[in-house]
Amino acid sequence: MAGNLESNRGRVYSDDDLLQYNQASLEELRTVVQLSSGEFSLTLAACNYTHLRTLVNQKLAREGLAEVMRLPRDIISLRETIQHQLEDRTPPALMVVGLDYLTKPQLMAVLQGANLSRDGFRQHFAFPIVLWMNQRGRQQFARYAPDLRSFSPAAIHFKLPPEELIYSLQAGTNQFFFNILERGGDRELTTTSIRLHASDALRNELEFAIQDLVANNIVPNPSLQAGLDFLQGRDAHSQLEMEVARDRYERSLAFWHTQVEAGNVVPTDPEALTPEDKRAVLWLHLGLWWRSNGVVQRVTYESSLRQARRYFEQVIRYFRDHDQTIHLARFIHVLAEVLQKQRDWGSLEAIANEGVRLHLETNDSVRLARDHGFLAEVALIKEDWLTAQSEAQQALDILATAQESLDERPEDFALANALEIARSFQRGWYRFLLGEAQMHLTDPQEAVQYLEAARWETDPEVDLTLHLRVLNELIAHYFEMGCYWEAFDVKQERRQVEYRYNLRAFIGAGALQSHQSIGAAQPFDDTTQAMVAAEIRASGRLRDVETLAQRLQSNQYSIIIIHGPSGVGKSSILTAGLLPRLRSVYFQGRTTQPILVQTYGNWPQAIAQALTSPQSSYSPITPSPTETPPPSSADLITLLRDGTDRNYFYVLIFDQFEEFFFDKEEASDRRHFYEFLQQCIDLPFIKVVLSLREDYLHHLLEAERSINRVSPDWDLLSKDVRYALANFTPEAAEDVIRQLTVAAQYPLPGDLVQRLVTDLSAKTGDVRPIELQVVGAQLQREDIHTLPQYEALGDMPKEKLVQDYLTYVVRDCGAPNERLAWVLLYLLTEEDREQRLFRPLKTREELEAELALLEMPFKSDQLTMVLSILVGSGLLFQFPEEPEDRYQLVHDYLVRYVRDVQTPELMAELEAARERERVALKAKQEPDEKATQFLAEKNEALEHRLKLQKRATVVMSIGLGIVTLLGMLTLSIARARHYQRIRAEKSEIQALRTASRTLFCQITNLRPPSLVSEQ
Amino acid sequence: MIELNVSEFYRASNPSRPIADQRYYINFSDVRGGDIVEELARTIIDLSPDEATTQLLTGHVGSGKSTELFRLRDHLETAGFHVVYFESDIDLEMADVEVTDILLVMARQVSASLEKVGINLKPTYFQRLFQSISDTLRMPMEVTDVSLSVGIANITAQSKESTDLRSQLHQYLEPRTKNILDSINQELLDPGISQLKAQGKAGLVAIVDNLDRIFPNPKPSGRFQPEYLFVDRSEQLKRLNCHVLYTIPLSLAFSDDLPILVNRFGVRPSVLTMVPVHDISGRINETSLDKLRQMVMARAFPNLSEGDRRLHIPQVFDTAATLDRLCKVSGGHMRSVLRYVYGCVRKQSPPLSQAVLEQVIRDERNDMLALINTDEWQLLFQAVKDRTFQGNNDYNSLLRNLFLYEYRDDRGRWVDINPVLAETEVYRQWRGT
Repeated sequence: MAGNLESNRGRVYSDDDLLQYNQASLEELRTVVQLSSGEFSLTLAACNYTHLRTLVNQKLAREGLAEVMRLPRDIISLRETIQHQLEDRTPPALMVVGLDYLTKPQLMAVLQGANLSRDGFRQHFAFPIVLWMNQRGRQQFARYAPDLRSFSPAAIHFKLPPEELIYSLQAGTNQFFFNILERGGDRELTTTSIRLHASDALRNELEFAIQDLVANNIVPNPSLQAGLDFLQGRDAHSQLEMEVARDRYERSLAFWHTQVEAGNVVPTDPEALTPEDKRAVLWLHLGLWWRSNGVVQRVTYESSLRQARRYFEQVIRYFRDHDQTIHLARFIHVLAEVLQKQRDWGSLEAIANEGVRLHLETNDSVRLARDHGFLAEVALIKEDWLTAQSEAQQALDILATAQESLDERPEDFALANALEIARSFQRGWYRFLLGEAQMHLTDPQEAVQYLEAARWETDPEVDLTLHLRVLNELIAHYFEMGCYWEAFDVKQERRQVEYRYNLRAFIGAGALQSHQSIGAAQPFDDTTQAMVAAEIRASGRLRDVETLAQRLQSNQYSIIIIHGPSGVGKSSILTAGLLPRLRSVYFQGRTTQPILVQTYGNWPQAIAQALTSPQSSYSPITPSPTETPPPSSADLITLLRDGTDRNYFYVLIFDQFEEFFFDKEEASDRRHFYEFLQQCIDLPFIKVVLSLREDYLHHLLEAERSINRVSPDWDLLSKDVRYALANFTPEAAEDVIRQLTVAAQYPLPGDLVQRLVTDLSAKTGDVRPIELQVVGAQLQREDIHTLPQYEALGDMPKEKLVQDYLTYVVRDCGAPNERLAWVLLYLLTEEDREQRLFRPLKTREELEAELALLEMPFKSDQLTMVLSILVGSGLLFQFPEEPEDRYQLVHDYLVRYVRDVQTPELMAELEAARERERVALKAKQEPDEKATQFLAEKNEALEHRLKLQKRATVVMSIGLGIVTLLGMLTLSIARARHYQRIRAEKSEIQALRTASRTLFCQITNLRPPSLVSEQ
Repeated sequence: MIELNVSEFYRASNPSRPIADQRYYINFSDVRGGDIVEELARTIIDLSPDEATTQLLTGHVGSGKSTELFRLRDHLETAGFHVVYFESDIDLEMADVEVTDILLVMARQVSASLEKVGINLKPTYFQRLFQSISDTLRMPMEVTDVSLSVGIANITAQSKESTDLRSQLHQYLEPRTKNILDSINQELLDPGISQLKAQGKAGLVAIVDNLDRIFPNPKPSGRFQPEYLFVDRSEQLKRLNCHVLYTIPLSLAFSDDLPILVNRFGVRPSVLTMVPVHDISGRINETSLDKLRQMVMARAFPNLSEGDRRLHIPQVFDTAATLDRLCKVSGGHMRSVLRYVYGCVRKQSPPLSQAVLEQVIRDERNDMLALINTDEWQLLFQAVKDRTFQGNNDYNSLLRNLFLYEYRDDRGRWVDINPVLAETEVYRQWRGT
């Protein structure tokens, strides 16, 4: 076992002494074994220390009284494991160890199982069983196996003598202090009585020792107490229990300070640090504490940095004044980092120069590179591009040289470790600095490559601020260079990072896209989990997604019919919520494969393809061109059953199901689908989600009739099957806004939230999620924090925001392309004969034809780019279909908006176009009937539009208005690979939490890289 | 004088052993106050003989639920009811129970029992259901011309054996809960009851024992199984058209969801309590105390009469006061009585001394102290102050861990702290304030 609390050297007690100390307990254990031999009895033995427990067990085993059994870590059932390991032997008694080493959930499962099968122990084992557990294990035991526990009297305790406890703790805390200053790598420290492995078992033993001390009413001497305070402070710090942490640090600091004042400068123990050194360690930690505090309490950021700086300066001054060059070199960067954050460039330059001198002296190349990095940063501020370039280049060169020397001496673990840190924390920064300098020195086309390199090398997980800085610079440079697609691509990435790290409250909405490029081939990991969480949270529909996921995991539901008005977020919930959520669903331990169908032209082919392609698909299915007839439902069922036999769990998701009724006008076509549906919902491990607009719900009666012919129990429109998605009530909307904004540290005052909700619900009394997201996103973008700011937008602030939003999205296409973007959006709106607005699906070819009719000039690649950006920003759906993809506005909500806000300018243009068409039509009189018909139809459509235009009363300042969402993140595939590296969703606070935790294990001397001094 | 057989005494006190030997059995029913059996029976016999009722019974594990249910069965049969008693855990997989499992077991037990008195029913719905299960799930089974009980037994036997098959069955049956319920009611219970009445019976009662043993594990929804079944799905469990008595896990009687449960079932669960060594005002209940003494002495001298056992106390304890102390500190929890005896005997050969008993009590106290956190103490104080508690799931662990005991006597119901904990410094200080 890694690490246990006992001393090897200078110990107070020998092994025999320890057993003697526990004589009474040992005797009792012997009696248990002897009295109940030949019959089952249960005894709990309590011991917190591995070493002591081993001594006792060895003794009993030597005496032939008992056999010792160590449980494997992959244990499932306690009883079965014991039975299996014994192989029909009947020991006189069995000492069972190993429960302490199970993970918490595992232990819970084992204990619950043991509790349930408690009668089985008596039936199977005719000998006494002794379960060894530490205090934590016994607590779990009491919680999860109370009935089994009632089979045993109180536990028999084995303890360490107080002197031993004190000795071990004293040695342990001294070691902690020592490690912090001397830790330069991951050298194993074996000279201590507390072996500081980063093992839970050891941390437990330390904690137990402290508790046992308290239980024995032993008051540690002040020196030990100050050491323990420090330890507890660090522990609290790692849990972000900030007040406790500060209190303990300050108490500990006060003690060492008094010692120093009293002139006690000699270490108590030859290995231990002097009180002055220990005081420096506490200063260091208080500095770190303030740095954390600035992040945890955003409002105190500046003042916290000042405090942190004060402590770090004390530390640095102490090392400087006492000629502790090595320590000074090791810790000088904690100060530099704060100065950088404070933007105190003058001081930073001085410290960086001192660093250069120090690190040359200590021959510390990795830190030397960082000094140059700081100097490059300072030079950039001074706009001294040449210096910045050379400093940044030096930093990179030094790292490269260090890497070479490591290649020659791979055994240099300290260097390897330091380089690893530099790679993840610093090299991207050097590249960024170099890129920024280059932008001013050479051709932007070339210089931007440096920034691209920095984009790849900075990891938001490691340094979010830096990563965003790189992205922002790239966006600006690309846009200036007229590379709109590239700018947009980076922007999408930035958006995603911002969601993930909780910097953005509103997601836009409409149809959120799942991260298609992440792909289903990936096994579920924390990354995907994190993305789901961020998107759903931002959509304010977390509870709905959770409910749907739960229904799908519940046996009661094999079909869910989602219905709601348009704009309520049905598609979003499916694609951005349920789909990713299903990745973490293991229904009956099976792999979940969701199959999403959004168009119904050739649905059997689509499903068949999803089932036969090697990787399961989380994205809309693209049927491949094929000559063969679509598979029959019997074929599909066979495929599905094959899959369920291979432990798949299928969720067939039919989105926008109202389209089905458009596409399938023949009753026989529809019946084909219904037969398939019936089999799906009856078969195990296949479930169906069907989503459609509320006004089409009654069409399902036909489906039900068809299904009931075979399976009469189904009642599709019953409450148990339906799931209604409604708009937000004003109260719910307020709640959603609060949750979203607070999570993103963008809190809005109550009066503004209320006004927003009032405006949003003015027309209908409730709030459309899409509108909430659009308005919210723009609100944050315009940095509006107060009601007066909002009111300053004009008479109709909500509408103004929507317009701004739209303008913003279209502007992403670049100035030369904006007009094309507007027109495209307009072409994707339509009104039917009953003047109901709808969103026509149009192929690119159709769009090109209509643009030509309007004499809208465009280049093919220009059209490609604009369409890509509109799709990427979430304004348009792109349905991959054969033979050609089709485009559609994401939302009915947008149609009305688009058509309500026309400019007279466009109306005039359209009229002119119409006139030209008429002329052309007359002039040509083409015999080609098709063409004639097409043009005639076009003409009619244009005429119709014009009529509407004249009716339109609202004329707004912007051009063709389209409101939308910013939609989600169609990442380029390349970037997706990058993201696979990012493990978990973390806000800056969460990142800090990890960092603090890391800090704990580091100072106990191990990896991962330090945050104390390396940064 | 008969010599005490220490080894036998130790074995007889093993708390992991159920009572196998009638000589150790002591009847506590008259000191637990109010006759629960009488109440349950009265609801059926007097208040609602013709209208179906659903009642719930719970209690600490090992508090004698089954014994009480046997008494209830006898009582109801005497009153002319056809009673179907069954131990549900024989047919159910207790870690994975669905409502339809319970319904099917019920249908099977009822129809088997009716078949015995010559009432053979063949609900057509089930005939079709068996057929479609067999087809859809590719489950080999005899579906034609089998009695309902045999048909269901076919299914449940296969279901208990294979996790995968059970899951498939659950997925097939659960969405059909309503249809299954309708069929049981209309095709089994309604005609069954009228035929019973034609035979002169007063009605039909189903007693579902051991359902309190369902595993408290979470369902995929995160909801724990007891709450899932008896709260979320209660509407369906109570829709059966005959008198039903379910045993339910004790935790439900104190869960946050209890008000919902009571509301849905329309009845509070009856709870079997500890033996009241003290009454609600803290006075010793001599009858209870004497029965507990008997319980200990019966294990030392099973063959002696009650009176003779008293004479032999000095062979087991140094003084009679030590025995009394043991009984009182047990708080009337029978298994604790045994645990303390067991703990003493492994430290010392009888006669057991006061000092050793105190040491055992101290160990127990320290063990418990390590398990209770500050919040739980506050809950405990609150419960002791109010003499009752409700609506907080945190209390479940207090009950399950035996920190808190529930009592009931002629004068009412109350809760009290485990006497071992009552002697802690924390508690004394709180009492003092």
